Order: sequence, then C-alpha cells, then structure tokens
Amino acid sequence: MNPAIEFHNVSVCRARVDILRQISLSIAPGEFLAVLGPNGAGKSTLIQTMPGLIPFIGDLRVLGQPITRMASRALSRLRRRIGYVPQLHARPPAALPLSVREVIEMGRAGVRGTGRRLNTSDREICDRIMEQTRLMKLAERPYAVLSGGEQRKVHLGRALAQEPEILLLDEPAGHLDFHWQEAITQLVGKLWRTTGATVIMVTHDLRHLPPGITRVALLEDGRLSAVGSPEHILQSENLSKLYDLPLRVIESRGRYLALPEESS
Amino acid sequence: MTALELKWLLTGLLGGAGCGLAGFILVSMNLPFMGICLAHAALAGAVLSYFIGTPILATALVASLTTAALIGPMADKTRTHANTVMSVLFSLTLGLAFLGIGLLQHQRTDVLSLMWGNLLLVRWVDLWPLGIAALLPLLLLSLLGKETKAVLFDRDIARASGIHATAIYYAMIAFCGFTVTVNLNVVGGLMLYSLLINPAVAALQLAKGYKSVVALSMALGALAALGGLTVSLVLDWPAGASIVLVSSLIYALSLGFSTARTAYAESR
Repeated sequence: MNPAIEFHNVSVCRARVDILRQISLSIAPGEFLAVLGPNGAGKSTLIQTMPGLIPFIGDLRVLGQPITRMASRALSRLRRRIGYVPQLHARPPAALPLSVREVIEMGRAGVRGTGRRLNTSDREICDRIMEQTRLMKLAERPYAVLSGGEQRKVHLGRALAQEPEILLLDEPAGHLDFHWQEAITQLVGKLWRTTGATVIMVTHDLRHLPPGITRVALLEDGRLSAVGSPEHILQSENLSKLYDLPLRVIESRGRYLALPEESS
Repeated sequence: MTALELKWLLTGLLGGAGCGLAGFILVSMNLPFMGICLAHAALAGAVLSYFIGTPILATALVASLTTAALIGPMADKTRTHANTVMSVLFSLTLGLAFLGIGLLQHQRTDVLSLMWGNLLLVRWVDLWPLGIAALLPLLLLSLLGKETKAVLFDRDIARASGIHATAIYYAMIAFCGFTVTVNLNVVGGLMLYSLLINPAVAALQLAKGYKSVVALSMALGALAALGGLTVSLVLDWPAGASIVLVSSLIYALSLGFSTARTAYAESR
C-alpha cells in the first residue's frame, strides 16, 4: 500500500535558522501518528509542510503527489483532501460575526469548488458532523462567544466537513482546562476510529494522546530522534532526554502520563 | 431637488456605501490600519501626479495598490507584523505627500482639497468610479460568497482547506485601495479613515449575522457620508471633517445602544 505521506530529507530554514533538519518518515494510510517534542522543536512547522503551507527543501509526497512540484491549482485540490486544525490560541480573535454552522460549512467551501454554492448534500454532511461532534445545539450560536474548548471542537468539525483523507491536528487540546482537554482527546480518538482518516497530531503533552494510536515520533531540535510504537517510544528515559527533565512515564489502559521524578 | 443637490446625494450614497463595505473587509481581516495606510498612499500618489503630469485618479490608484502589494511581502521577509510595516509605509507616504504639497506653489489649493475633501471638486463623471467601488466588492462577496467569508474569517485556514485564499485576499485589498482612491476628492486623504472604519465597527456592534453586518456597514457608511455632506453644506464646514464627526457620532450611538442592549439582556 502506498504511504499517505512520505518525507524524504525534508528541511525547513527560516531567517538562517534550521527549523526542520533532514526529516525522513513514511506514514501509512489510516495511521495515527503522534509527534511529541518540546516547545520550539519544529512540531507546528512539520505539520505545516504537509499541506504545502510553508516552503521547504527535500521531497514530500502527500497522497501520492509531490508537494514541491505542484502547480497552485493542483495544490489547492490536494489541500481539499487534508483537514487542518491549527493552534488556535495563537490566532487573533475572529472579528467576523459567524455562527457555528457557518464555520463548519467553511469546510465544504473548498471541496464544493470555486464559485459554486453549497448544496443539500453539503448541508447534510455538516449536520452529520455537528451531530457527531455534539455541536448541533450550538449551531446557531456566534462562534466568537464560544469557550476555547468549544471553538476547538468547531474547528475539528470544520476540518471533518471536508471529509478528509488526512487530518492534521496542531495541539488540539493545548491551553484548555482539564474537562476540555479530556473531551477533545476522546473526540479525536473517536473520530480517528470512525472516519478511518490518517491522523497526524502534534503535542507536547502525553495526556492528549488517545488510546490505541499506532506510532509516536519524537522531534528534538528539528530532527526526528525516535519513531516507533507508543509502548516502545514512550519510555521514561526517552522522554527525560527529550524534555531535559527526569520524568517517569505511567501507562494506564492505553493512556500515558509523564510525571517529574522527585529530586533526591 | 436641483442637479447639484442630486449629485451631492449620489456622491454621499455611493461613496459612503463603498467606504462602509471596504471598512467591513478591513475590520473583518483585523487590518483596520490598512485603511489609513492606503488612504495616505493614495494621497501621496495624487500629489505626485501634479509633478509628473499623469491623471490624478490613476496615479493615486497605482500608489495605493503598490503600497498594498508591498505590505505582505515586507512583513513576511522581515518577519515583522503587518501593522508595523503599515506604520512605516503610512509615515513614509504622509511625509512624501507633505513634501510634495510644500513644493507645489501654484496648485496648493487643489492639492489641499485632496487632504481635507471638497465637494465642489466632485464632478458627475466622478460618480462612475464611486459606483464601481461600491459594486465590485459587493459582487465579489456575492459571487464568491463562501470563499470570501472563509478568507475574511481566517486567511490561513481558508488557504489550508483548498480555497484560492491569496488571490481572493489581494482582490479584496485591491478593491479597498480603489475605494479609498476614488473617495479622496470627497472626504480627503487625512479623513478617509473614519469613514472606512467607523461604520463597519458600528455595524459589528449592532447587527448579528454576516449579511446583516455587510448591509449595515454600507448603510451606515452612506448615512455618515450623507449626514456629513449635509452638515458641510448647511454650516459651510469642510466636507471631510463633517463626515468624520458624523461617522464618529454614529459609532458612539451604536456603542451606547449595544451596551444598553447587553445590560438589558443581562438584567432579565
């Protein structure tokens, strides 16, 4: 089976600083890959390379297509098959008075094609997504008045409305209270299992990994330092080295937690 | 109604509605400062036209669009926030405009009217660009409704979901530049900012849905321009300054109404 995403020596350099260095990685269709790393490791940059949102050098094939050599129109068509949820806490607040339904429907805007109006089938897909993500009761509420957790859910819904083959999640549960961290984590796990999409999620917090994920990659100073199964990678010594802090990893029912070791 | 009064009425309606719509676009994209930047670039271009003998409108438009086109790449290349780049370009274009005005000895009155606005300069033929400036962005928002909505909401997210966001973004900015330029005669380069921003911000306070905000931004823009022109005619005040005062009053009233409405809703 052809990989959903294939990196071959991909590097990103900005203002003479190497953000990503020689990344080589193959991600199979339907896989859930979690990319862990400290702040500044290059996690968001890595996720932004996949829909071709930032320039890079090297070879990157997404759904069999070489991102680097694509014309703008073809790249737009490819992006419609990729759902992307960026880090929301770093974005300016939306000034536009849109309802939750209108933001979800934005996910269909690219898919439907330029200049074509959304049809009944698009609206049915959005209704189904809102039922699935339990957003239906908020459908007519203004997006701007929602809590941070609710806004994340809306963006997950917007990305899902594309019916994507690949879902890219940039810290979907970051900067939320415990209730919402858990709600988003469980929703991400459920969506992966039910949609069959390839999911790539970056985070620095083990608690945000849903149970049953297929692989974990550790990103350290722009380099992939380890890639493998969660059982193999999420070891105390690996994470202590990654975060430069003595950590003890606890596993329970497929979920992971890292606690600082008590200093002697 | 005399022909002169009809011309002023149409000028206020078309100019105000166009500015209200352009303001809505700029405020939605969190780029309100771009309005003042484009207005001063257009002013500098208009002043330049007196030196090089080119048509005022075309030169002002080129200056405004060139400035708009510079903002994005300059911000990206220097890793600076767009607002910072706009501040630099704003001061540069204002300085150039003042330098030009200082050097122009014989046509200073004409040029100064571009800064403060002068209804007497508006000719029937000027109504066409004012109408086009109001109509073109409205057509874009209607024909590419879902795409423009997505770009106004979040350009990066729109681009990532396969919308031709960059082209739509620059089309909207170009339309804003055009609106600003064709309104120089009426409101004046120094005053245009308030007619761009105040109606849009007031509409965001008052209306709830997307389409209502678009319609109300245009209506309040027209109201501010017409109200200002009426004040200008009755009291013999400069048109630009009168429009600024009326648009500021509209914003203050909308703020008061919105605050009272929220307090009433919370008390129930």
